[in-house]
Amino acid sequence: MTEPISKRAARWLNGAGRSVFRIGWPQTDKDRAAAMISSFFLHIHPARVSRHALRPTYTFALGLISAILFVILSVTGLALMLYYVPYPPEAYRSMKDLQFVVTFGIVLRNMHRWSAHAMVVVVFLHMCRVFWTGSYKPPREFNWIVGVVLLLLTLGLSFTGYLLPWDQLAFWAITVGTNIAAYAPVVGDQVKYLLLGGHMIGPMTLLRFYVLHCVILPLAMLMLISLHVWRVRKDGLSGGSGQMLPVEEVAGVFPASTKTYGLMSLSKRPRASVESRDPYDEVFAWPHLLYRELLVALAVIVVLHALSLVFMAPLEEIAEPTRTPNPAKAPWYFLGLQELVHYSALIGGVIVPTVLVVALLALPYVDRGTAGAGRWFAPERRVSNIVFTVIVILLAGLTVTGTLFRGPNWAWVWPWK
Amino acid sequence: MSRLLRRACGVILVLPLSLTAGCGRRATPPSDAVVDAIRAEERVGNLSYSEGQGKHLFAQYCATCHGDEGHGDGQNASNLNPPPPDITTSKNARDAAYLRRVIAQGSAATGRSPLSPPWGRSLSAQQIDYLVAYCQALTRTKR
Amino acid sequence: MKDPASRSLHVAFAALGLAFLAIFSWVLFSEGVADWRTTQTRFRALETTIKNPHQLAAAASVGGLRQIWLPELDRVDRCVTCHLGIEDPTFAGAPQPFSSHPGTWLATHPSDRFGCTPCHDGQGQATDYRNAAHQPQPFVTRPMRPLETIEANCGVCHRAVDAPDAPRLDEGRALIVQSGCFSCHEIPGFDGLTFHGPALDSIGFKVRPEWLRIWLKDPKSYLERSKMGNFRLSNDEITGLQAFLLSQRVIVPLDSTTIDWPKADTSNGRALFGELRCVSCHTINGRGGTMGPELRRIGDKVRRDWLFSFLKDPHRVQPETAMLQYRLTDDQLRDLSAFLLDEYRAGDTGPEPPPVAYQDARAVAAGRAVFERRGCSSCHRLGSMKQAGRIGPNLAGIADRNPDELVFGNANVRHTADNYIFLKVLHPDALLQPSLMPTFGFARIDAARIALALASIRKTDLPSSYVRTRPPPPPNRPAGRFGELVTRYRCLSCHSIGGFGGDLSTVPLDRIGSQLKHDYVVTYLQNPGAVRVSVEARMPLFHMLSEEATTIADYMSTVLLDDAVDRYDAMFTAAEARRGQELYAQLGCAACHQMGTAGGYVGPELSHTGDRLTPGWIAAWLTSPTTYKPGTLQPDYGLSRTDARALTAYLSSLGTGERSPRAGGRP
Repeated sequence: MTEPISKRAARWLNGAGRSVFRIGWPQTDKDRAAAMISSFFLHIHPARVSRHALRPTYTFALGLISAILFVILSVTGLALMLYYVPYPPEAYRSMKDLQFVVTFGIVLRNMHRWSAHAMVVVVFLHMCRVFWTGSYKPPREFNWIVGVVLLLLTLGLSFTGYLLPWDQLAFWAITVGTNIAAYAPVVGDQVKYLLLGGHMIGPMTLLRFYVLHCVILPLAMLMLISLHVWRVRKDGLSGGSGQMLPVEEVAGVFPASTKTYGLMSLSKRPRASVESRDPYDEVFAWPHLLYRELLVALAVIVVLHALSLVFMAPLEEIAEPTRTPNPAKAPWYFLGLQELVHYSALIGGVIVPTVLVVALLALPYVDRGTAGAGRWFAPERRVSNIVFTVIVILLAGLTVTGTLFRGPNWAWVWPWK
Repeated sequence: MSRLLRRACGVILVLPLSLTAGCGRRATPPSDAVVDAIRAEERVGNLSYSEGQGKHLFAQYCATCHGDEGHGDGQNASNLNPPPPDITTSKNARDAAYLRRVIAQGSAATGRSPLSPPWGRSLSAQQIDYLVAYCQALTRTKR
Repeated sequence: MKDPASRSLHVAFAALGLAFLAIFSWVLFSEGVADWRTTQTRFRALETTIKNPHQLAAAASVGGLRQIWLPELDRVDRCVTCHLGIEDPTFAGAPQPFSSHPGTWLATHPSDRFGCTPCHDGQGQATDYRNAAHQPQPFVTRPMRPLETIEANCGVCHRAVDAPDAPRLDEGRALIVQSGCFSCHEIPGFDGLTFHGPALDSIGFKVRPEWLRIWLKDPKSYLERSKMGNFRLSNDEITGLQAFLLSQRVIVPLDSTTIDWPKADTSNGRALFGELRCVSCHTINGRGGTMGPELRRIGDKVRRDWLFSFLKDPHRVQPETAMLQYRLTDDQLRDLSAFLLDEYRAGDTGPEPPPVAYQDARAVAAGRAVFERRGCSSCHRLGSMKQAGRIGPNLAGIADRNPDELVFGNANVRHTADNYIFLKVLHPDALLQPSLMPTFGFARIDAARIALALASIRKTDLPSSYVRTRPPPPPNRPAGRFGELVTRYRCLSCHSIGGFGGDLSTVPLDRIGSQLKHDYVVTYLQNPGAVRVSVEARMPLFHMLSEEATTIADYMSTVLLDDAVDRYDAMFTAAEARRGQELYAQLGCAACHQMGTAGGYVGPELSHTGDRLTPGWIAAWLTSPTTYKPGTLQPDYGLSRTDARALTAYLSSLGTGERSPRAGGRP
């Protein structure tokens, strides 16, 4: 009873803190392991990770950055939803209000916009990284499929969000975009009708895109991201630093050094965490991994804030269906396709996108050899790397051409003129 | 890694710079032809907008007696006794309130001859303000 | 296990953390120093210096964002967030953006009904200087108009109504009416108006062939202020048109072969020319009226036979002409024609050319094609040809055209609809675009005024409570004997009745019967004199018959009346007249009005007022001149009823030979 009040307060605070962080500040390796095992992060990371996985030049943290961008987009998007009215003239007006009247509104909108663009880029680069390091090889084929779907979802989210400001840029980009979609054989027009809720962009389209953008696609995205991350966690990160055991050798064997925890250990799945692990090449996820992730998150946030302060998200005149800008351009990530459509609607609108998506989906089941997996540009995979790189460069080249070098009537212009 | 970073920073810095440099090279800015044409007509002698408006009104209502330039040499001036004053040299013309009173209530209101009639009921306050502005511009342009 | 990189990680964490703090505080800071916040701070400082403490307390200085919401116009104007003194006269002359609104505009256009951007344009939703589009900004369709062109926005609501405070707009609309733009273009607000060039049915008898060539090449080279534009015709087209037009000979002129031309006395013609006051309507060497064509080079243009017939009976030769029919003998007509043809020509035009007997059929057909293609019949009636109607594009919504779609050629102008219209009006073919529109040779300022008038034609569906419009006056041609006389003497070329007619005369005839005394009208019509000393345009000398003058006066004094003016007690007392005389001196009437030989010559001469004007009219005019004639030079002295009556008594007593009070009113 004579305990001083300060000590009691400290004890109370400590108790409150413990209820959140079960293990205090981890001091010993045991605590470090416990910190992971007892926390939410176990769903994402194992308690110990290989040093190889920490090397920034292996993953460039692209998957992590994508996830961070998704979180930022969700937060800013929710804030923007408070002001946005998905009905034509008001939609545009709420953009103006965000820009001129809402406190921090313009920063929110800029961050949302630039994060969305960044996410398209980063997700795409992430896919390239996975290809160039051969990380889609068994047992991660399915995760590649999930990743491809996530890329498509990212494009879908960006595309549906593009219409929401209801300015000329939005209106005509979506017009061009949906017209490209309409080139699809047989179902093209139906798809377009379904997307637009009519034959032309109008209030119905805006509502559909709004619901897609704010509810359906984010939910799907969230579920698939969970699956994606969970599969990473279960399949392990590709490319151990040491000598990789061929997967075939461990298949069907429950490796001794494989760690699974809790209830998961009861589920005997032969292909869970197939990596051979060298305990001396591993470090604790806390602090080594989580700390680095925190740094990346900080860096992303800082960069986005800086971008949002310097560059304003574009907002043109209010959408005017009778006033076609010249040139009318799709969102930039579809400009490669639009450039192709300019030469041939069939190739740009149907063949190339279909072939690309089908090829990406089929890739892990066609290219099954594991030689060279887990290393950047492994010489064993020279041919496939060259083919993939050429395709990427072509796509990027087409996109840059369509974005910067195309003027009125899709004629060639120099961007600095 | 650090080399890569530096390169990336370099690209990020140079790109917007080169873009702005490209924009800055535009020749003479395009003009607004309509505005220029109207300005050329209405602002002869560096008149402001209000003064230009006043000049029109002056020509219609005042110039027959006061003269186009306000020198008191209008075509009807010789019929008047006392003759109209030379606004360009008048001390009173610098006083906006005085001018407003003379124009609105006539010269009789300031205790002078009744020859300059009151315009307060014919002209709007806006028009009288324009006239005042022009009269003051006349004193200004006096060389 | 020690992470070898942990030190650099900590450094990175510190650096990134600091960067984050810095950038986040910058975000906070930039919101705190938003344009409108700092502006409001400056305003409060200014307010304390301008206002006294009592006013300050009453003002309860506003803070935060302010806006005017105009649901009917679907606008939100936040201009008042920074323009805080706009409705407060205390801030007159304060530095911008705090100065109060100049003039009485806000009194006539209250801000809660009209806001800011309906007149000024600009981006009303914005809360900073740049985005409010005080200057042109990318992606702002309508940046703020400079004061020079702001009148275009007056015309959005004030449709086809004279807007007295928008002179440029008015002049632009007048130019459109004068130039007959609506003959080729459908222009909202100008519906129902018609424009006619001379009918060409008998042009083959009228003009000299070589003149026609010059005219078609460039009308301005013959007549500076020609209303017809330059159609930029090729020589072949001109040859064809010339052939086609000269073959148009429907109304044969009167036979003047019986006229003894060598006996023509040009000095008598000159005297007639002055006596008939031809210069009231026709310009000679830059002086004279603008109603009729300029006569400076008439000798180069018309054939003698035609001129003679036209002067003798203009309405037979050219039915729609504004020219009146004089009563002249054949000898007088001969002298006048000879004088005109001899005096007004550039050089020796040679003898009267014989009428062209034969025209090349191919050339005629080619000329006809040109005539049709260039829409000549939009302005010129030609019996053998169907009216072409409006061959130019419809101008509805021209101000809303997308500037990206307009062709600007090489012109280094800002791409706006205004500038496009301006350049197009100025030089229709200059915008690297083939155009059928003729070059009218407008001065730049006139082109700008026309551009303003056209720029006010917007597609906007304004609520009808905002629109001020006036239906065009219906043609009001009186019938009967009076109607015949009005037609013969073309009264409505200069005068108007019910808003219909010309505006050359200073006197509309709507209430003329209540204004003028019957006897005066009869005398005046037979021998019109000058009421005003300093006016050049006067009524022509019609040589009207006494019976005709009486008919007109009778009609006026029974039909063209105004009850408000008529019902006036004209039993004046001598005291009233004396008081009126005092007032006449006291108000300085003599500054403008001549009485005998004394007084100014701005207004009408007054020594015979009693014979001329009815007392009711004198009183009405003195009490409220601007009601009857907007923009008149007659000042409104704000006379009391008694004073007005006294002046009326005095003026009514003038000129009747007796100074005694006398019953006035209409006889």
